[in-house]
Amino acid sequence: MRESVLLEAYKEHEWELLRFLAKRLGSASLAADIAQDLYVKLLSAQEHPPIRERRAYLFSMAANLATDHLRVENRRREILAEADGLVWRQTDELTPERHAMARAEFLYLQSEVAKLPPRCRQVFYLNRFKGQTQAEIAETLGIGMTTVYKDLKQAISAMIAARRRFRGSDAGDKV
Amino acid sequence: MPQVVRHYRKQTTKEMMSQNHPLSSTENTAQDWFLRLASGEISDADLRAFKAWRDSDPSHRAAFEEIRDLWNDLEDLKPAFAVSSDMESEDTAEAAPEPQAPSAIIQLDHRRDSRPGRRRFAVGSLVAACLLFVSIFSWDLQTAILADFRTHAGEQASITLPDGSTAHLNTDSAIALNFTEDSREVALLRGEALFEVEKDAHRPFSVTAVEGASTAVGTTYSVRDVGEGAVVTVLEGRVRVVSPVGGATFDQAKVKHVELAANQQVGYRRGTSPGPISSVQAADATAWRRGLLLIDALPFADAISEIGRYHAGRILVLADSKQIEPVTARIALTETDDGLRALAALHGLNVTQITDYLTILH
Repeated sequence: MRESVLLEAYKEHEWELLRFLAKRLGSASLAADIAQDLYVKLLSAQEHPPIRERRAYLFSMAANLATDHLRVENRRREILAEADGLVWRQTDELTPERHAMARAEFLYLQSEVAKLPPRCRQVFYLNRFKGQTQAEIAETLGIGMTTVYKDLKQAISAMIAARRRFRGSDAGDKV
Repeated sequence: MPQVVRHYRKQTTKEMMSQNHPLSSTENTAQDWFLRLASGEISDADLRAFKAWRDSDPSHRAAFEEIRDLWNDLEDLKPAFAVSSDMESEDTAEAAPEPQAPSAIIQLDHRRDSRPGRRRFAVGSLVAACLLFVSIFSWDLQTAILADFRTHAGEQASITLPDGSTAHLNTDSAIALNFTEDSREVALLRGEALFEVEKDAHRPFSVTAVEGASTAVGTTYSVRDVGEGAVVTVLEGRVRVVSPVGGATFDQAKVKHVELAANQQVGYRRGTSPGPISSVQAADATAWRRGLLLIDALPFADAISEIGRYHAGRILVLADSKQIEPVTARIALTETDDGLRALAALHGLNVTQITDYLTILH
């Protein structure tokens, strides 16, 4: 049985493999994860090409997994960074308009926030100000993901509407 | 023609208002996208799909950007959202407003570091503020003549300046104004004042105190003058501090300027250039606006003279105050008499009020 041959090799060289992966990935726990992936892959593999050098084959499999992982991870980071850039304003320049409006608008929005249901406020608070993901909030508060999502949307809708009312109410006089 | 334009605009406003409820499908989708992007769990394909949606119609982009702008602008509303009974204690404390007049007049606070970080001063205000404290111990004739606005001991006042800025005078303070076409100058003659400055790039706002000047570059800052010098503290943004700028001992060679960022502080003595910059908790410097006197590890005598600023008469300490360890306390400004008594009692001193003008600690 070829897989058992490779599994044997894995067990034989596990510590070496872990060290090899840790060096490549720069993280011992990540190395353990990848080694685990490798192990599972070896377990489930039905057939292997003829193997002359079990150890070399094993290490090249590990290296490929590590490379794949890094590629996926890097791409994920790029995506996150891009998403972050889309969500957060890069520079915080104060246009004269924002400056003049800020205080009165702030007070108005504050009063509108107070009208939101407590849970809705809390959900939004955890997301916007504490950086918790929707899943984390659901877990923290013991509520469903759908509820979290609805609360977030309710808060955003209310704020958008309030801001439009505020800006709309004197837009007629300005500009 | 202008009438047509105006009419059109009004319609737009009305249209927008009526759109508030319910959400249009574009707005709904924009929110969905926004929340997804903000969730931190998004795939390559999601990102491509989002961009395709956003770029397919200008209204999509506009709806998305409206949400993004709101999201970013909400920073200062954090306390408003945080007000919730079952919130983490840290946040509740942060959101709780500073007690205006706590019933426990004085809380000795040795756990200063455990106090939650204060909100930035003046939540939501995008104005420059400047706090000055000058200790000149008696009203001289010159001050009385020059002052445009003043307060007596124990008083505070808020004054709207000609440019729309606001000056908040603390106890026993005086300011004189010199506003021209291209400059806004305030001289702090005495005491302490907080300035909320209307931004005007063409007319810099500067405050002079003890032969030094602090100029707002469009920010929030404070200047505190102690004895023969001043201390400038920045709450937000940047401030340029120059000293000396004149006076009897003026020496051109000593003129220097420093630029401060948020939560930085610098001091200067009369006739000398600013010293080294240090880091501070700038919001504490404006506690008086919230009706609080914060005493942070001050020598006993200095703590008493801090309280004395809010006290009409003189306070005399007839004891070896150097033997007393530094004082840390929070005192409601409405209750400084009781605060003084509590502080004295704590260190085994009696308070005897001789007249309205003289109080003795012994």
